[in-house]
Amino acid sequence: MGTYIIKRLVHSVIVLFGITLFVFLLLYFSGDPVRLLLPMDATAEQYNAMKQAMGFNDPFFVQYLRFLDKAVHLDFGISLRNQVPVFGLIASYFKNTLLLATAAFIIALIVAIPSGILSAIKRNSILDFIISIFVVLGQAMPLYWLGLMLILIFSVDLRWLPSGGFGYSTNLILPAITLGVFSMSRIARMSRSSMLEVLNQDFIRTPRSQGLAEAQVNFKYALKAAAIPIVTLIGTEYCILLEGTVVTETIFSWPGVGQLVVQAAYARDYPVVQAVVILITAIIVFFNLAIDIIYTYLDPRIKYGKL
Amino acid sequence: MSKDLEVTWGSKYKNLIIRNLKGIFGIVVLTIAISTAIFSPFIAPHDPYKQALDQRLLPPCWQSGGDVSHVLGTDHLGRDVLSRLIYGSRVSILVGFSAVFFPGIIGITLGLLSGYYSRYLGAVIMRIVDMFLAIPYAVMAIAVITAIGTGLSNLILVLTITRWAHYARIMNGTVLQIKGQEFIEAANARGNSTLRIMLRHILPNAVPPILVLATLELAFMIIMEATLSFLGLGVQPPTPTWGLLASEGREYLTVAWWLTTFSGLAIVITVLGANLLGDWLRDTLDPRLKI
Repeated sequence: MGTYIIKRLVHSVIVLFGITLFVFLLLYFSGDPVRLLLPMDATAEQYNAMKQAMGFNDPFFVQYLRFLDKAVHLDFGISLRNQVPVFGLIASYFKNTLLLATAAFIIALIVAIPSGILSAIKRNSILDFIISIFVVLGQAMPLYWLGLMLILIFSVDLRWLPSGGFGYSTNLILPAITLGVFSMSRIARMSRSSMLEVLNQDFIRTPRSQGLAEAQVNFKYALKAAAIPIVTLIGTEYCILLEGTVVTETIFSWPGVGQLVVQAAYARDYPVVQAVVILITAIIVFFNLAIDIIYTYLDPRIKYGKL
Repeated sequence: MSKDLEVTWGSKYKNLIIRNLKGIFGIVVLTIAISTAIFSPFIAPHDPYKQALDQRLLPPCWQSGGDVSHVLGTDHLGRDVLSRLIYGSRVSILVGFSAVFFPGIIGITLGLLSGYYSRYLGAVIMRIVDMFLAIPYAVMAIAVITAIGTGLSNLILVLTITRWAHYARIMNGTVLQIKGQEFIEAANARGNSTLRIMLRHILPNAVPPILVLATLELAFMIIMEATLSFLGLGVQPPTPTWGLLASEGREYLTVAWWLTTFSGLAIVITVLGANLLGDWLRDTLDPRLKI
């Protein structure tokens, strides 16, 4: 048990190192910040002086280690656009993104899991067919298009909901639904296939042959077994949801990290983009690590190697 | 299945089609999409770049105010929506296939190598793969775009850099599985060179899962191109691409619904086709995956 956790921990740390290196490499090769910061008519001497002062003449690894050191202390520099410390900027927007992602996640779970399980129980029925259609369509729709269509229907035509902004509870509804639908298809699909796999197994045949009502068989036995893969999926899905916030926040003008990173990318605000990548990835890596560890308690077979 | 044991000519072919409906639909849709892309100049009724400011924001022809010469209406600069849609397929198909081909080549090669030399080289390559797979995709794409800039070729480059790891991982797993088979052992005993084993024996058997992945990746890359272009980080105006059409239409959403809607529908249908094809491939090739 201990070795498994240690192996996973080491793995996560290596991955994080790799990511910071990757991000740092990107920026290292992508532009010349000294030239950006100096006025056009700077002389060669001023250029060299600034370069030296900012530490860009140092060897690559020294710069990288300096970058790492600052990152661990949560110092990601200053935003090129509005001259505020990057980390503070991200932190203030992050809670909005979390709010949106969590709301969307809850909506997705409430709709998708029952649908998936129902469509497995009543396989090849009309219900299964209808749900499958929705699932398949849901996976083919681009997120931005779904958002825009919802705005078209509910804000422009029906005028029931605002098309964007922040501050009132109604502002949350459309973005949360948009983002939620994004995940629903995958979760429903996974619930369905997991439930189907379980329903075909021998340990379900036993209570069924003993005469238990079908519903009881389903809920008492099948559901618990089917839950394990669904729980794994849920972890990954939340992370994918976080990715979806990039587009959703842009469409609905929701003041979150997603919108921030898009605007920063547009304005070539490297420090912000850099910081967002590292922070979000770090969060996801640790989140997955936590899930894996919790998993060894849920399903002891894991620690003896992937089943 | 069929309750009647008698097989007539009609029922035989009907069953074949119904069982493989997903795949047929997918192939048909993709063929239409690719043909539209290739033959755009011959299909499109108008020049997609030609502006006509006296004909701005015409609705589709079945609504009042619409004009039959502009079947799906015009945009805010008077350009025909249908023509822009048709030419837009060029970008989507081009980017979609490139973003499957290039990362595929890199990923398959690295996956093959890491699977075959799994002890040291494989371990290193797989760690790198893990690293790439850990970064959430949208964020990584945006970061790379910030570094290297927007535009069509940059977009393909970005998609290549960010996507190869998926192919490498599947390839690695598949190769490991194949390596343990007896016919590989036999080939080795015969004295076949490593290269020959890799190309003649391992690679053909690794095709099924890669093919499924490639098809699903195609679908995802089309969506990605549209999304990035929508955000202004992909292909730049005035080149028509389905994502850009949607973003251009967004400003006029309250008065002109047709700009955004049709470009999205085009994506939905194409991606649906690719997804269904991938699902069908997965279902069809699945029993044979356990070689």
